[in-house]
Amino acid sequence: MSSYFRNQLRGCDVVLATLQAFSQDICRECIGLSGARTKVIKGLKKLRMDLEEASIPEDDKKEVTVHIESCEKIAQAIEVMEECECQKTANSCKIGPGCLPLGALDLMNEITAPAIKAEEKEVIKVAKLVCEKCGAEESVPVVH
Amino acid sequence: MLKIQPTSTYPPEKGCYLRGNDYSPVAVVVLMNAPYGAMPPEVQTIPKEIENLVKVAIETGAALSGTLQTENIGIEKIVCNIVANPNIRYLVVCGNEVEGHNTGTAIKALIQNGIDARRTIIGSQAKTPYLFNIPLEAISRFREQLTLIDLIGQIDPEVIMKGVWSCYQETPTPFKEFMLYDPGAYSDYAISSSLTLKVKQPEEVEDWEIDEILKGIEEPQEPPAEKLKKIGDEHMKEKRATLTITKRLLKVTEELSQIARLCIEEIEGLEMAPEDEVKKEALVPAPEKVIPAIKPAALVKEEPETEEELYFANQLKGFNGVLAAFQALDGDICHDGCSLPAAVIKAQKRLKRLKEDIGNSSVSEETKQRLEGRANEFIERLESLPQDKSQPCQKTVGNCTIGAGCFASGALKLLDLITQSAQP
Repeated sequence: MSSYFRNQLRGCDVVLATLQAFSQDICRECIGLSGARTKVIKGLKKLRMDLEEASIPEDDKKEVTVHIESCEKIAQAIEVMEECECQKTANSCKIGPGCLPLGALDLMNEITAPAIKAEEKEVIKVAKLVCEKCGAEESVPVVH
Repeated sequence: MLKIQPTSTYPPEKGCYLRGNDYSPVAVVVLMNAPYGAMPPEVQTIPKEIENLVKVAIETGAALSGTLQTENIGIEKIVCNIVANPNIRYLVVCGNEVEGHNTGTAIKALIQNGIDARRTIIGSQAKTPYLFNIPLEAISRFREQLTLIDLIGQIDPEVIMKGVWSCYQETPTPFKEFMLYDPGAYSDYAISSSLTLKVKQPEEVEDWEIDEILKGIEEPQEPPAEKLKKIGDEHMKEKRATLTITKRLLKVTEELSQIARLCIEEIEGLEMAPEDEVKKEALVPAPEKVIPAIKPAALVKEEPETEEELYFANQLKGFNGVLAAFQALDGDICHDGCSLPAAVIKAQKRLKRLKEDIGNSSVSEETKQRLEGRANEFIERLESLPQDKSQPCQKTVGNCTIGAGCFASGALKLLDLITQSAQP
């Protein structure tokens, strides 16, 4: 499995678990949680689109797809009221200016690598295995 | 001069507007640069100067006069309401530009340039100027039917009054760079349309999603004969609507009774003898996994009575999320690393201190017990998580490839979002 997709899904697992916990609280009626949930769902959709275009082995693709589907199910199951409003303006949330669901979503920002998409990473990997001096291609790095 | 009766549903969309003379040729849009939409209904107030402009326009003789804030749903509502009344031939847009939305430039660009194939207003400076919820026919009619009187930035009621008054004069009357008069109704039938709301939150739409959204809202090409039939059938609509509502009610009743049956079965299942449960469990395949289950809890709104109690309640609220994140990480490679145990230990220390603070606080005994009970529950959950800091860092061993960040310590930082109330 490409590290790009693996990292993104690891992040999703944590964010979803956290959002699920917040959905047991007043955040269930909050636009903050609703927005965070929507963003995760969209992120997963985008990840699926990127995966379709990625040049990674089919088996890996299947594995990632299963993980994406599982995350999507969890995201859909997060309880959010249909009509929701910011709980700060409703005077129910008094934690200060911060927002816990959006903070949970920010956990995705912990992922900074790989900075480039999976398929580009693969190209660089191959390029690194071509000897600069003699041009020989090796399956593992070799000093010529 | 030809005047036409608007559609029976006119104005089809609800909103923040006043209705005046249906035969007037002018509608007024006052841009609302105020945080109205973000406020709860009980405190929603329109700034006085904006409310005054809306009233002045109606009193001077406008057909409709209201406020506009968003560059998507807001504009869509205006389009629906205006094409339902062919008598409206001018649209006066006034008031200060809506910061962040740039709605004034969006409506101006819509009339001048229209929309592109992706239902985006051409040349708009707004962030999400998407019109996904109204028929293309209505947009095109809106542009043909209207002349824009651009008074963006103008908040002087006298100027608005003069503009509105000029629009319904029988002879051409100069107003700014325009020569205004009432040209009579638009030479085609009124269009009755309302928002489909297929895209309820266009502000959340991202550029890469638009093509897919468009697939879902493609309009069927109606042949002219079909269109005529539709107009002819309009008078039958009311009876049909009653029939449709009755059928839907019947369906809802059936679905509710099914839900009730399922609830009864579930409750009866829970009350089954333990041996029966074991047999039943054996028949159920193992769940797929992933995130550790969190105890389902009914949403109970607790209203802390003092600042001290609020502090404790807020902290526990935060810990609930942190713990859920830790439990998810425990199912991942973090289980064998050193960062999760370090974060768990830190959380334990903070939680124990919080529990002590609760014990020493002046909150009522009953509240104390409730808060301590929650803290104890969290401490128990933390105890079941890894605490061996001597394990290797998963970045060092090459398993964690997310970069310099760390999910475990990031999760702990969720507590920093809680800035109120101050620690007692």
